[in-house]
Amino acid sequence: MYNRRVKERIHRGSRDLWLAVLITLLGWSLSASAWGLLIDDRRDDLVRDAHTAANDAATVVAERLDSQLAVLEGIGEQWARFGGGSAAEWRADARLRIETRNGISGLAWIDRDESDHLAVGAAASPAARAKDAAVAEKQIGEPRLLGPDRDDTGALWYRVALPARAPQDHAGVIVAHVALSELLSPLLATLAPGYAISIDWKGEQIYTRDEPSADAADHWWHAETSVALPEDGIWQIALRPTDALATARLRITPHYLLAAGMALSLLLAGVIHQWRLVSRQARFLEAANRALEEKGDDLQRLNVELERRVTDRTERLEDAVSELEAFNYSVSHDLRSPLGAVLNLAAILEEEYTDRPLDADGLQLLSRIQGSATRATALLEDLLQLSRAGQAVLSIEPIDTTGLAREMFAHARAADGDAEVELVLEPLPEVEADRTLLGAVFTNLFTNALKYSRGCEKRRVTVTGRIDDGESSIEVADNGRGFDMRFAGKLFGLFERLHADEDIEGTGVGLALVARIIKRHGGRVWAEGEIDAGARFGFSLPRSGGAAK
Amino acid sequence: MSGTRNILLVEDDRNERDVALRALDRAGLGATVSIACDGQEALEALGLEMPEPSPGRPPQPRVIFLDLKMPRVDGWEVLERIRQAPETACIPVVVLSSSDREADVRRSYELGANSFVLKHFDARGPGTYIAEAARYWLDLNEPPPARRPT
Repeated sequence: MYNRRVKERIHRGSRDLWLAVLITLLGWSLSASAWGLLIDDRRDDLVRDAHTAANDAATVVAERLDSQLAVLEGIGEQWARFGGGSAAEWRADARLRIETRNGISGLAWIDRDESDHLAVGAAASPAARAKDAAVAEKQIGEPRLLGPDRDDTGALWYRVALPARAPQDHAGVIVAHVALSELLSPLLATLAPGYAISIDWKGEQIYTRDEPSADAADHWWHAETSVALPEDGIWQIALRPTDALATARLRITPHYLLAAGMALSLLLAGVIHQWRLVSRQARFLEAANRALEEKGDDLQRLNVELERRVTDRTERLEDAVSELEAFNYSVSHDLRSPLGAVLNLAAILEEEYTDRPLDADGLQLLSRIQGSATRATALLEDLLQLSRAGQAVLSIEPIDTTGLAREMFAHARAADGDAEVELVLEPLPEVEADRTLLGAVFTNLFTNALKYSRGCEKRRVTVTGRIDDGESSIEVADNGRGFDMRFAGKLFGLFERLHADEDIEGTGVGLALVARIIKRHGGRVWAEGEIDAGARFGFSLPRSGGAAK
Repeated sequence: MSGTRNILLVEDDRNERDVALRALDRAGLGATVSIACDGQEALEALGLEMPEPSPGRPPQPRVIFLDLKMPRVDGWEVLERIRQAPETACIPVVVLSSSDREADVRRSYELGANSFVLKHFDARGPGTYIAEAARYWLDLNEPPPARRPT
């Protein structure tokens, strides 16, 4: 039975997963929150870094554009200051400026009426292109950035055009032809590593470096800035993290953290759940232990009770044996005394009256012989009754005790010579007993009461009853001569008499008989008395019916 | 030899008493016989129990014939009390009983009886054996010296 209950408990425990689930969910949500915060933080870092890098890029690009303009202006000023010069000088000067690696790969000058022009370049093509542009833009009054253009090879170019405010012969326009890759690549090749850089101009992507992360394209975590061009246009510079950077910064660590957090929560939940199961089992085992201990106590109590009962029975058996011995002894002893009296008195009679007739003394001797013989007979009858009371099979039935007491009192009074005796009979508790034997109890108690109140004034016998503690008690009291309480213990013994008076007949069997009958019914007897103040004899019977002993 | 030849007979049965008295009387022992009808009366007669004897102690008997089975106080209790009290401790006590049960005889001696006589029908005459016992204790036996008053 215990096994089944343990299993039930454990089974219920395994169903009772709510705490583990709660902890897991909590742990996961905490991990996810931490992960989100970390990601946000990392993105902020990326964006901040991207902005810084974008500004740096814009600055260097703007500076390079400025320096290109400055180069062209320098050419213009030189032209003005020295009033022109030879074409060879100009060329040499222009070549020098191209070689200073300002990104310029071709330079061209053309006067306003296209009557004169000069062009130099790192190759023929840039010079020619510069010249074409100069032709197109010969009328401009402000510096202009032209482009982007794509040449036959697919390379992107732009041209910077600047009015040349020189003496009339040289007034016109100066144009620098610049390959965008030559301008931007050296500037941006090493800037902001990890970021993909792109520059847009008039819807054309004029520069890209590295592939941006696929995520970055869809998200806000990129930085943009722009470089203002001499005229209205701008170069739009955008920086986006590359996949490598995004993976390193946004994925690996936070994702590991998230996974670790979730795993930890699961572990914690598992441990706590296991702990709960174990402690639940421990609690149950403890309870089972306690129950077992209680059972053990019960068992011990039962044992003690059993031992007590064995002792009880043994004592009762010993009682019975010693009672039997006492009975045998009493019978032989007490029968011997009246029979001895008969013999002795008869012998006296013989001695005294061999040679003379019986006189009054002789007649008295005769009467005493008769008395002794009668006593022996009465004793035998009483003993027989006692023996019967001890052996008869009890026929237990509910008894109207009050009625029985009234009936038995009438008999006892008749035997006593219908004397003037008041009977006070209270309603008595109904008992379960053997009717014949209980009748004998009443008869003996009433006979005693009448016997020992003989000669008293206003003789009265009072019968009372009560129920308490599972037994019914009945007491018969008289207002006779009573007895000394010192001898109360002897009253119920066989052949015990407290009065030596010859005028009170009796064999000393009556109360012994009462005691034996009540004992056989599982009850007890008692006696109270005071000399010349009456006696009270009581007996009790168990409520659950008599137990045959 | 002390001058008093008195016997205390403790016996509750009237017939037994009469038989014993008659036998003692007929034996011509010249003894006076006091009667106690039960143990209680015996204790009173010996001054061992209320009511107090007045005045002075009654003369102690030379021998006590004591029945065992009596109402109220039985013979053994009387014997025990006799032996406990200094005034009566040395008085010879002859137990007269109709019981020859070993336990009764032993108990009597243990409590200090000087003799144990079984009541029986004496074919020579009722109670003759009692008179014989009395003669022994009165005539043949040296009584204990009288207690000196302290």
